[in-house]
Amino acid sequence: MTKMTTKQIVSIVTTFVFTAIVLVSPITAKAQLSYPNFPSCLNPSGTVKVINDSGSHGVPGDTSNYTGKDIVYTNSDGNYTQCLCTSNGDGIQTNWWKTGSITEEETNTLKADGWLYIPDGSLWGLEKDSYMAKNSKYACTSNTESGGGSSNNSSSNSSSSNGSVQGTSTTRFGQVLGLATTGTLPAVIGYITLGAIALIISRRLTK
Amino acid sequence: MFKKFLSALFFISGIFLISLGFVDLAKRQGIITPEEVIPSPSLATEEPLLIFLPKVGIKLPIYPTEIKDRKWPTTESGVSYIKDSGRLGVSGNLVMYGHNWKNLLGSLKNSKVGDTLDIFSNQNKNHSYVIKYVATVDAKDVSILADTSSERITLYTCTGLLDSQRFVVVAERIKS
Repeated sequence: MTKMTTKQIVSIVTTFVFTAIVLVSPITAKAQLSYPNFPSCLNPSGTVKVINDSGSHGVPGDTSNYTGKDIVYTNSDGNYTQCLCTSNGDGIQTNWWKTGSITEEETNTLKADGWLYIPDGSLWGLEKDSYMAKNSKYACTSNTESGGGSSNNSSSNSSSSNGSVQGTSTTRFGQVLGLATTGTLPAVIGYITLGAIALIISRRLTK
Repeated sequence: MFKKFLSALFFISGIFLISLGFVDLAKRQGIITPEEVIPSPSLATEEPLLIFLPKVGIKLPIYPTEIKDRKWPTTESGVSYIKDSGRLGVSGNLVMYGHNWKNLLGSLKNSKVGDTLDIFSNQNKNHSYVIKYVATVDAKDVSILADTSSERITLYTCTGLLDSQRFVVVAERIKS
């Protein structure tokens, strides 16, 4: 195996650092945003703003019309969670985030993360405000009663001093760091990767 | 001489770490046999013992646990159940979770709305539920843990890229 020249090493390291910066910067920008809490439609909380038991419903960013049951909840922070369960069991959760406190730069970060800018929420039955909206899917049964959570639930994240959204959430079990970590795949990948690196270093040292 | 020693050290470490990774993978393939349990109808407190999801081939023992220092204990032998989350037969949201290994909740991701979920208790009773919701949520989404006015089981495991999300199944009691 030929030795690498200094120029080649510098080139590889530069490429690696540049790629890392490109990949990490959106994550860092996203991590610095303080996201409000949107309860899952699997166990929604908050005050019911409106229930539409039937009829046709639209979803922001989606040109399809859906029939089914649609419930909008007002969250404790004034944002909205919309839970649509269509007649064929497809659920769409739309999180509506009022843009009042969001900067333009943050709006662009959110857009890159799949959020949609809605200039006038009144067209969607909400207050005449601008919103960021994001959809996620779930499976449901259309004959489930609305709600499930108590409006007294609190799920507050505390930010650490560097502004990233890390920290604990308050649940009825006390403070937790999130849901349980029930996967060990990162650890397995870590072991094998580190082991491979160690073997490569060992081979280099014997040359 | 030192170079040879270092090379040997890295070699041994590399073999050891790779072996660790494969051992971890191997133990997920082992068969879990629910312990023989002898239910007793006379027991004062009814506790969940076994969980069945026949459509996806899950049959596992349930181990009661509690959150300590903000952390969730896990087991490699079955499903964990947060004792404080609720009791069988009464309103409330019982929270259970387990590893996404092939021999534990790996096939949970194949669950569908309408599938049944059964909990067998220490009092020799069977509690039947039907799955009402299935979703993939963020690992920080603790809203699914909230208590409910219905009799509910919330069961979840890891999913997504590098297990960064949680696959959640919510089942509600079948009223006789």
